[in-house]
Amino acid sequence: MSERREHDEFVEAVLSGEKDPADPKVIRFLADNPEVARRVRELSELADQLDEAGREQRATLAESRELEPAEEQVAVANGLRELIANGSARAPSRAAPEPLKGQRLSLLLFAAAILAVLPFAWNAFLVAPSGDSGPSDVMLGSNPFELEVVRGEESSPSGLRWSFPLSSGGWFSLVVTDPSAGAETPTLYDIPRYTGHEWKPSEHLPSVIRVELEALDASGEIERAWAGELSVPD
Amino acid sequence: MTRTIESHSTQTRHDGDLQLVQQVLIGDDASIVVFVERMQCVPAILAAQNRRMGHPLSVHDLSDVVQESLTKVWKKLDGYAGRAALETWTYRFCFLELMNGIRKKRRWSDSAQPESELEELASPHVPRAVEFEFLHRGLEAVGPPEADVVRLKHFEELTFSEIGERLGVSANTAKTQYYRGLAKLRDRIDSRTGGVVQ
Repeated sequence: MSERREHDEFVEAVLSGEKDPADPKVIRFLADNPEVARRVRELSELADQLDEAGREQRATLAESRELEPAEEQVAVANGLRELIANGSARAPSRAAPEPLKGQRLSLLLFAAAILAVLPFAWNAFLVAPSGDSGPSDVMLGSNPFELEVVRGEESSPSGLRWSFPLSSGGWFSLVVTDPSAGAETPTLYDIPRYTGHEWKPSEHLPSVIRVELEALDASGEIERAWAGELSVPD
Repeated sequence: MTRTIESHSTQTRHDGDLQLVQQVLIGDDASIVVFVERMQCVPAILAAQNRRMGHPLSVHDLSDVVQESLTKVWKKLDGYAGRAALETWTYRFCFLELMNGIRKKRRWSDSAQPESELEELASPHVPRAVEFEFLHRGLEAVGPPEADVVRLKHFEELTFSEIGERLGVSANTAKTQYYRGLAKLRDRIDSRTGGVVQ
């Protein structure tokens, strides 16, 4: 067995609980193999974070089961029935289904009628601060990032470059969408954390892209944000 | 042509949910009624998530996120394999759409926005949720079977024997997939952040 494989199996055994990290033999092995010790530490920290995310998920699901929705049932029912009936929201790689027999038209009419009152129905159920409605859809102002499209070399896709001083521990959030798709506006790339100042897509971009770029500090607070459409050179 | 779900022979503890989804995908009316009823969990989960984060989204914003979440669930439905309860499987789509909704709302923060709304967006719970979002998105990218094992271990607190039973593999295989899943997730985090995950 190679040393690498032996180390992998050791780390796997510690993470899965087969080996006790407090066992003197384990402690000695880790002391003699700092790279293995680093791997165990990193993955154990990740496991702890996953445990925390799991606790949050279970607590949220338990809390959601205690809520007793009323009016929103109609909204959900019709939102879903509309999806099922018109089939427009299916993944493009999948085959489209047949419309539901004899139900399509009536469902669509029913859904349209209910969707018209959907926002009012929601107000009766959701617990949230009162009196706040969403802001209108506005484009942000000037470009604080000095963002530019960088022409790719031959057979290489064009990318983006920006200059903005990221604060210590901060990161960028980058979302690239295709505005030509109308209301659907499919997300081409959604990169929640990125610390570089230049980005290359894995595939060629459409001729016009919508870019949403945010700079966040170490605590996740947004420092600056910019959104707009950019032309991509051929 | 109807949508079909990939067949698999592994035993699950949620065969009833899987059967329901399969029937929905072939357009069975009675199953659709039941499915719609089960999907009442979507607004409830989102309301609970929003509340636990300190209400970063308003009622109006949240109703949009409900529709986005339902759309995502419907798009992904043929990927449901019955490894978790339908509501648990739905959770991550709701969570990720909620985070998208929060991010979308934050993008307006440079424009004229009432001071009170900015305070809501600065809720101390949101940065913690960003960390969870990073893990959920990372697991989406890692994909099955490793991501399934990691989710069953940490989100559903199953033992490796139970995971093996759920996935139709031995406990030892589940352990190996778990280790690979963690390693892949860690590598993704490293490549994105230089190893920084608070």
